[in-house]
Amino acid sequence: MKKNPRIILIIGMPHSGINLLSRGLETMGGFLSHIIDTNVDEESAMLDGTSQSPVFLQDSISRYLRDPNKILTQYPTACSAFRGDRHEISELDLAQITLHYFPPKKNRNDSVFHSLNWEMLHFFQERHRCIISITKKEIALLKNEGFFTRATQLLLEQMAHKSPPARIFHADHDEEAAKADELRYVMKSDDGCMSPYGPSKNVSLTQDPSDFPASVVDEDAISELVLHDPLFTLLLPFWKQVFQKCHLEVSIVIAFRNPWSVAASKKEYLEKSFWVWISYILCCLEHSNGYQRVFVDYDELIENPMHQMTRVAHALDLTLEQKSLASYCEYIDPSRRHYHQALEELKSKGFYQQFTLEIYTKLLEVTQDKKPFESLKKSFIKWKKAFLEANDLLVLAEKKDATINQLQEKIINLDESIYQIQKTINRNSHSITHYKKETDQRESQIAALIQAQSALDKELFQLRQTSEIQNCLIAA
Amino acid sequence: MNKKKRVIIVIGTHRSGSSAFTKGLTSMGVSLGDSLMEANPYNHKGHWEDLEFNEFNNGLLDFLGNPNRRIRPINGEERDRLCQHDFFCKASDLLIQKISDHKIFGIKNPKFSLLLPFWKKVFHANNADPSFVITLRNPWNVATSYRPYLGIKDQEVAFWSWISYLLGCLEHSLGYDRIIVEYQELLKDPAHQMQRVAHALRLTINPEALQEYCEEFIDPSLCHYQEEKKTLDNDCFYKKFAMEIYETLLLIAQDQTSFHDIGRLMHQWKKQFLQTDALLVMTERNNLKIGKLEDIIFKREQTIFNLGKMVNNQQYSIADYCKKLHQKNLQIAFLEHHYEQCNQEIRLLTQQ
Repeated sequence: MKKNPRIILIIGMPHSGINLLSRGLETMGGFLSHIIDTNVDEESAMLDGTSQSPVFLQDSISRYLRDPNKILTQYPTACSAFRGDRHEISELDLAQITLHYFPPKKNRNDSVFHSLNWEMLHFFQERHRCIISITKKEIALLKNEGFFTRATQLLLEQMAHKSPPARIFHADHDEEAAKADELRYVMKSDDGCMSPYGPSKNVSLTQDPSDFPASVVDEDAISELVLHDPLFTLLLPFWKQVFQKCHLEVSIVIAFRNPWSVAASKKEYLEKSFWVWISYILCCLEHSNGYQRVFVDYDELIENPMHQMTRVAHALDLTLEQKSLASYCEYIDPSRRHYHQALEELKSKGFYQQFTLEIYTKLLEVTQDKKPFESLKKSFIKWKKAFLEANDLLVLAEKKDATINQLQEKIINLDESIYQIQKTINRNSHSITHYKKETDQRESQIAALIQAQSALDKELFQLRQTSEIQNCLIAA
Repeated sequence: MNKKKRVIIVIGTHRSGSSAFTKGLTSMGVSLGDSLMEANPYNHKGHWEDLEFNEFNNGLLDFLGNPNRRIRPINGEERDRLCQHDFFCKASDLLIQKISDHKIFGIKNPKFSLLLPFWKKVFHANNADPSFVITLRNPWNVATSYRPYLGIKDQEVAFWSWISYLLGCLEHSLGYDRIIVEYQELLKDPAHQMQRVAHALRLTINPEALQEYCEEFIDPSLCHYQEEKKTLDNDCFYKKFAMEIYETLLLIAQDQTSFHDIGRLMHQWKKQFLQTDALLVMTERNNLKIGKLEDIIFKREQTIFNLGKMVNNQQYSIADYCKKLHQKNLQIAFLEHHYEQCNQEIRLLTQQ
């Protein structure tokens, strides 16, 4: 029996190592759909509800072209194929090679998931959805607005094109194919860029040489599509219905991180950061229920990536590629972790911190395989109850965020109006100065005319007198 | 040894009938001072609230950075900040100035509910003996009444403020003479409520003054928002929570139970309230931020209005200049024409 294609979803709160984890998934051959490689600021902005539409496109080719020799030396066959009879390889050739072997990390198709998520979360204008997951009522609203159809179509399209163009080489070019992968990995490591597809465990990289370079879509070759975007977390109740409609198997990798470290890495108020953390975790716990799932702690991942990737591979029935895994482990650099506090150092003050610490400790026990996932069941009910008591205030916080955004926008518009009015005032001032000058000129002109007239009047008077005298004399 | 001066503090949420009640205190020989807030459309029969205490409390909340958007009572750290500042001396001076000429002084100001940790210290240091009257009203009615009065648009904020004020009152009046007076009960039978208060606070009623208060002051028609014990949609936690507190405190106001009996419940309520403390902080901050943004918008709109006026004046000036210029042009044309005529005449005369 043919198995349903599978979606591997990486979710969790922003700043929890989702990106790092998604790179790790490449070592297992998932077809990674890079929704967005959210950087810290973007993630913060998203949580604040202040971010604008994300910028997806970046010119990865130009970045690859910074070091064309790398391609020329490591990829002679590919270069000669493009070069043909010519002796020199042009920039265009290089661009084509790069595009073929190292496609831009964020292509149009990939970005649409994030855009769609963004659009959905901001559909509810009276409140920016950035803290708590969407409700049944909101899902119904989204469906009414056609989002369900759009999401389904998008996913089906993405699944249909999920296979990367199969790389076809001469049988004797195995080594070159391996180099290509290696180079791709090196580039990814160098600049933080990620290829939109990774090698699948089912795909042979060495195939028939006949028509290089060629693209072959092999629907059955890759059975996994990996999506990662923190926004999926709050929208999971919606996406679950989409996955069901598309008859997809779903596996979920939940990234989480010490909430104190998350709070330290963000610029917002502690209270908000902790409650958002709680909300995301409970959302993940609740909506991943029933699916194949695994929790990965960021600190554990940094400290022992090999073990964590093995855990993930085991939980998700994936096979690790040892070479990629080794590169991945080498790539992870604990010194790049700016905020880290050990569990025993954490001091909880106030209910929200105690609550957070309780959840975090229990999750860690599961992550460290000290306790099974099922052990969280009872705690979850208690946590959920406590969370529901706070729910209304979180909804209010979202509404307030939306209000703050609207007011900030209004201020921007008012400032623009002020700027325009000031421009009008300046223009008017110039006009007034001009008119004043003109008026002054006219007045001078009038004064001069009056003066001239006065002289003329005198002359005329004298002439008239003379004329009258003459007339009198003539008459006499 | 100096005898302690008695002070009756009327606390509770805004819009919970504290004004209607406070006037009744005068029938028990309690003086309210002579610097009272004037009546306004929200309180046709007066607030019975001392202006200086109100202003001072506003100053305290202002100093803490959240004058009108405060939901939670001040905490120990905030109390200490106020004490370290010269507010403590100022509060003591104000208190002494107010109570020295009166045997029993009554102060009503809902903001005391948030500031009790500070004021208790002031009372203690100044040898004052405070007793508390906590006014209670159905949170649904308070929330409805809040909207036009305090401009609180969010039902959540209105309910959480109600919960916060009441729990603050209950916690910080512990250990003192205190009593709860429910608004509807006061309107129904003011004499009975005054007798309860007099009894609980060891005060003596002047029957004639009480009669005048009951017959001429209390007017049930002034209660604009009336709901019987709510069975409305208490679908949210905060509504259920508020109604649970209200219904329990109502039993105290009806002498069916005592403060002592609800000790355990109080503890539980406090615990539940503390769970949302951080979120209320967040709400206060958001409200503060919104307030600041609204202020900026107000200022920007004022600027636009003033600039608009300036543009209008400029346009009038421009129109005026255009008119003047036109007139000048006409004048010039006329002068030139006249000049030319004169010239012609001169030429003619010269030829002759």
